[in-house]
Amino acid sequence: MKTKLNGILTLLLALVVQVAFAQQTVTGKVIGPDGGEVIGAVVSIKGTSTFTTTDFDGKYSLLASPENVLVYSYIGYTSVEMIVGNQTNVDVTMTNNSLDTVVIQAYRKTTRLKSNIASTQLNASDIEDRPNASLLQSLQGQVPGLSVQTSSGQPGAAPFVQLRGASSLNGNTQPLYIIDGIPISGDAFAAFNPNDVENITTLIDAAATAIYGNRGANGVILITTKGGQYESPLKISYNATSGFTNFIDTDYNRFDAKGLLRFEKSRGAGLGNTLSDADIDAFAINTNWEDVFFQTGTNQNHNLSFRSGGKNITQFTSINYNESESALAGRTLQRMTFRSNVNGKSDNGKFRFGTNAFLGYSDSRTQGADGSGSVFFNPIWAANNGLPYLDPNVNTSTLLTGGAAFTFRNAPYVNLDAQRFDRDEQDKLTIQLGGDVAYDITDNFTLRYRLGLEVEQENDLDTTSPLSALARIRAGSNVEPFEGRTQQNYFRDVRMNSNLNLGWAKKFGEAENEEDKKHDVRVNGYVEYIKAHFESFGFTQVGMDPRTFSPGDGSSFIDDNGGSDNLGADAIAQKVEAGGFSVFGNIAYDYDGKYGFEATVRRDKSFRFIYNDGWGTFYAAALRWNVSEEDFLKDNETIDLLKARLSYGAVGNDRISGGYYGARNNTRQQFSTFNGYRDTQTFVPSSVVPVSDLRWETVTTLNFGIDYSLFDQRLSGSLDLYNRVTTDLFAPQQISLVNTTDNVDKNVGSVRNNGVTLTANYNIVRATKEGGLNVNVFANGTFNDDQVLDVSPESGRIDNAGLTVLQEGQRINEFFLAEYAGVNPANGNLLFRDANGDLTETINNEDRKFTGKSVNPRFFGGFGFNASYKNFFVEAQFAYVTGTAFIDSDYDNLLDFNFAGNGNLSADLLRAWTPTNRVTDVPSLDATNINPAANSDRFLVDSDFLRLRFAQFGYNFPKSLLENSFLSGGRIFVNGENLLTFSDFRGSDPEQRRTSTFNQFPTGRTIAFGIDLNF
Amino acid sequence: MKKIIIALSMVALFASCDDATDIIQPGELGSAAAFVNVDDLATGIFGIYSTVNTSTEINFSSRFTDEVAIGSSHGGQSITLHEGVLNPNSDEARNIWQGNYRAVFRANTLLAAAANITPEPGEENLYNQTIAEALTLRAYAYSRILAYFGEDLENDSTLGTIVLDFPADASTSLPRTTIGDTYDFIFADLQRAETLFDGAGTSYDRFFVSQNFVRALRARVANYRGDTSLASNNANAVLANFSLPTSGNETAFRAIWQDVPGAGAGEIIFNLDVTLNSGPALGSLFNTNGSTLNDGPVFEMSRDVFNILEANFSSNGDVRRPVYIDITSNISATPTADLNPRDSDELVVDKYPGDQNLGGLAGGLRNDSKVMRTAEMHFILAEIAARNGAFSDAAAQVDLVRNARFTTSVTTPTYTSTQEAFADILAERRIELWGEGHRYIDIKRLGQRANVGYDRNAVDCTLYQAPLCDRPATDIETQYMPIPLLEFTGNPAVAGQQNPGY
Repeated sequence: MKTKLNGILTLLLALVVQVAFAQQTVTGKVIGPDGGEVIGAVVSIKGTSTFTTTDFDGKYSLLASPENVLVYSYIGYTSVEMIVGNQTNVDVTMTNNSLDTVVIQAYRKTTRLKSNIASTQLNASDIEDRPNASLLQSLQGQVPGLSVQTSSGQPGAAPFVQLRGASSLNGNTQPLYIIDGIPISGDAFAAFNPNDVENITTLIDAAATAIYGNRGANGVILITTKGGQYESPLKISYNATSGFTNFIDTDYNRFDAKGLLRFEKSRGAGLGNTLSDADIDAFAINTNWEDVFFQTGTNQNHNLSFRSGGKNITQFTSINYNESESALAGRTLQRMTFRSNVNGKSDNGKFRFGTNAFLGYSDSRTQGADGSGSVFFNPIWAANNGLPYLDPNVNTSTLLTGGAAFTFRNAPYVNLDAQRFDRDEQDKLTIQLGGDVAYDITDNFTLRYRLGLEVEQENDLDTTSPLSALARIRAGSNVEPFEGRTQQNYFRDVRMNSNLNLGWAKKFGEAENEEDKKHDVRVNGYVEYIKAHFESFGFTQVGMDPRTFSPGDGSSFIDDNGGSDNLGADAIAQKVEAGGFSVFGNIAYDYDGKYGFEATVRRDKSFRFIYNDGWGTFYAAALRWNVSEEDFLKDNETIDLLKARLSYGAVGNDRISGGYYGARNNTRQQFSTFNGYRDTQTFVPSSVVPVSDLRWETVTTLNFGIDYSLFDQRLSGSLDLYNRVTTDLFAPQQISLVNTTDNVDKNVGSVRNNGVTLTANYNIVRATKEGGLNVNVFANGTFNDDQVLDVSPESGRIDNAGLTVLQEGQRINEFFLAEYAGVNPANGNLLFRDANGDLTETINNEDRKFTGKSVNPRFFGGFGFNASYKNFFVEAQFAYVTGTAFIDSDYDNLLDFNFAGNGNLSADLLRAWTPTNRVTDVPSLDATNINPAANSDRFLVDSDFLRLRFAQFGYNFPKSLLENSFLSGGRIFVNGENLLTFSDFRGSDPEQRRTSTFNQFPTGRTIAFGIDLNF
Repeated sequence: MKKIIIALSMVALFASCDDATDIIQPGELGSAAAFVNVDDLATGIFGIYSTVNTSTEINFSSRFTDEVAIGSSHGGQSITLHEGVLNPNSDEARNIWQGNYRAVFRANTLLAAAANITPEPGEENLYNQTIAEALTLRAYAYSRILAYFGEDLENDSTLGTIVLDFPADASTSLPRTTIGDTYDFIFADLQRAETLFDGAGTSYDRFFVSQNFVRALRARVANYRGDTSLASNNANAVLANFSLPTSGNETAFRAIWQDVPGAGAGEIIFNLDVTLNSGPALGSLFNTNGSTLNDGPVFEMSRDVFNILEANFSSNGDVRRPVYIDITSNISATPTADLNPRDSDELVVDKYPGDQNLGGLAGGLRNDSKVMRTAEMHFILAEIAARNGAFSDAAAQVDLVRNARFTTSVTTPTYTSTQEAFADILAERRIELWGEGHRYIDIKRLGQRANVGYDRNAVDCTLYQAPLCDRPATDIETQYMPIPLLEFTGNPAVAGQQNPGY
């Protein structure tokens, strides 16, 4: 076991005097992984006791012989060894050490050696400079057990994040996000600056998350933002990236103009039917509507930060500007953020405080009809299905006049018109404020108080200009001169979190020196209060005067003029509250770094429940054994760390209906007032059937893990096995229709996720001198086996309206479809397999089968490498997902030959069965069973994919360049997201968490160039 | 010192914790505060009316039977239903079942609350009238459930409805009672309602249920049962107050469907008011933006019904022909020879032309629901006469309806058999009550007796893929609707009580 230098050792070493011969003075500078100077790093000569420490500028100087090996050490960093040789100046860049790395745990920090829990940590270097606007998207493939699914190409889109499978059916399954101790909602990340992040820790097992109680059931993602260091000079960093986002092409074999015209002619439909063969051969227009709607989007990001620290105070300040266009015209994100982190302490260090202030403003241009078949409102439909023989340049206002213009074929023009005139925009202001005060009452007692406030306010504007075709058509049938519609919705969401903590820590043992005592006990008690308020209001105005129209402005609003109730505004408003109160405690014990024990008990009260007075009790316990600290392994050269962990615990989930404010008053019968018969204000029982004994969903996790570090820390990682069972599942129970609804959600049912996660990092080539070749490879994988254990119907099945079912013993929401067997060579009809496996042309719901697929990944993870040589660096991160599928409804649509004349089709139809082409995969165009009575897997595609999620190549500015400049460091790089994707899907992006993909907005491919400068 | 600080902090936090967990949400109206006095009951009754409408029934009946054909702007709406698919999974079965039980639930909630409210002096009439309205609306809802789902309306011992007179909750699980029990329940409600209405001195208003509607409904339901004397007594009682015109007047007839205020005073017994903001948009069952050719017809009038109207119009000037079919319609002279009849033969439905007083695009699709019309009383009397073998009386009653629509006098038919009489009654009901949600129940009750099923035009049948065209009245699907599957999954008490054949 390697000995690590620390303050105590430093003192001991200081007492030793050493004499050396044939020495030269070696000077240099020690740089940390963040590019900043390392102050107080120990530089020693290997095999001797000679050492020095670095000064405030990270510089050192000592006498050494050419054959000496210098060892550079600093807590938290991997020691670096350098042969002196003939060098007189040796600069060293240190990297994070996996063993001594500070492990962030709930409410406290420990080291990897003493951590009792399953957790994964990412550092700034794993996520910074990524050319995508969402921090969460960057986590894909980097955290074992964490599945990150981004289903929209909207810049900054919030991905669906899930740790170790779905623990709930209706309830929230996404993890809790904590930024600097403050719980933050998952959709706050579009307005968050990823470059502020110091590290991200994912807390995984029950022992890690129990302390977050009812909010931590699905794991906790702790984000720590950067801070300054005491006694360090001002450091300024500037970083800029600029890039391009492109649409990832589809492969649907769409007809070109001539091909489609010929096909139409053969079907007696559309324009083709009116043209002669000669006309078609001479047809000049050929439009690819994908190219019309999808373009190259540009994006840029600027980040400026300042860090400094004095004797008693440190600060970190950053400002960020981001402008991201997507591949779809008009869909953008603009963002500005500001952060200020201040930490301070009293002279004796007994009193400490910290504040975090973050302000983010973002403006997204979106479109409400993604994925819908509303052809006049969804440009992606037009891109997918626009007729190639139409010319996009003839789009004049007269083309779109009158009801007759609103045909399927003109939908691309309507969408182009809407892009020009209409606006769908969300601007969002995010404020996150955190305060943290701690006072050491005695040597053992510490009192701590944390207060967090998250404020999000958003203004959502959706306007149809009175000049747009959509407004003119409505006006035309409405005898109003103009119409147009503006909808604005404003909301403010304020969430407050208050946590009082009394901690007691003491070491016991024989040793006189406090540090050497072997029994380490920490006890913490907490009281937590959570309160949240959501308020929204908005209006829908119909009728705008085009003379004064401007999106979002009300000058043009036309009042109700009495002639028609259509004009004027409708108002809405909502106000809801949520809250919780918890008392909890945690005890952690460590014996000599060998054995650890930790236990947590908590009592939670949620505003959602009245059963059992609203209280729930949860607990967790963990055991740790550092095998490598035992005598028989302590001096083992191969094994640096071998640690076994075992934890068991239960965590509650009160977000039983998913949303933060959902299921607010499901326990009591409500009445709702509304405009009733004859416009009389009346009231009726609300349609939510009350369930008075609602209670927590309980997620119980058993976790066994091993952390390892081998071969001089060249190979390290962890292995975890888990069994995760959710009971009292908030699941639908069918009730008699004599009620106002057909089901209520009650605590019935149970699901299970079993799995294994493995991570490995291997330092294949370790540089022995500055600029030497250094190569790391890393990989992680998760296998998660999800299963429905129990649902309420006696049949053991809940049928989810068609494509998927919840069936006991099967995967959660597994696709359940009749098997498509191809084309009947005899008649061109579709062939299926019935329940008995026999071929049939007619199927019903009884013929459906389990497919093993769902929207939740089954085996997933990531791998990659990074390398550096001289000043160059390169890295690549791959991500992979298996076990997922969806129905490719886009392709289904492109094969719908009955649609000929209305939209483009796939030229695959030319392969359709005919009496002379009997063996084919495309059914006859006269097939009589094209729409079977049950859903089949004909269009089910595996959305498994492997993708080069991120790659980067760059160059660090050489010392020679920096020495005479105002810079202390810098680099340039080129990188990219989603560079390569391998999948069976013929559409654009297989990463879509949905049962059916239909005219969706896919994520694009981004390539960016950037520069980092440190002053 | 430190203990004091801690203790104080703890106290402060515990003391303020209740507001985080004992939250009554802003805008909550709980049971205790909902129904407190008679005014609350009188307000709450509007919530029951809100859930009564004919829209789901018109939607189901028109598409499933032979009333409509696919229109040029049809985009797949209700296509499987139109193609004849009706099973326990069908949305329409659930919608009709659940929609009417929602009315029952609301009525039961109000009636249960009323039992705990004692009217102040001077409030008794309002109190009694409100209870009478709730009872009547409950009876009406049960009459719908019975008509669509009852196994055999003329056999009291077959499967009827789930009868309940208290507000259901999540644990409610009751079996279907018999047809006879359901009749008893309906007639008991109507009897109580009539007595209360009489006592309260409720005056007639076509927009609310009242004594006239109670009697008309009793006539209708008694006729379902084959109780000829109860049916004829009540039908005649209604006809003492309402009468059809003696000859057709296009303007006056059109005014009824345009909801011109006061129009059709003798014709409409109970009319659910539809405003811009309350009630269903019946017009959108047939058209997208309005009832003209250019406003996107989704379902058009069936060619067969049109042919009858057209023949009546040329022979007797039937005013229903110009009123039901919009003038902008694109009527092909040779629909059977047309290559693309969907686009070349467009019979735009104008029976729901919109209420001009409502205005705007939405107003063009909104019309009152004519729940009970005078013409139906004549049909009931005609049926009773036919049952009794009084063919000339039956023909006379049908004549009264025809004369109300024809501009030239009708030739009275002569029936020589019960079947012939029922067939003629059914034929006239088909056009007079077209698009009002009667056709399914008419064929259910009279189809076999008249030897008439769903009669679709061959051209209409080419507009969809399924092979189904005409359908005999012996098909199970025309006999009764299936109890929705969800009732079985949620209510173990109905196990084994599905209607035969489903």
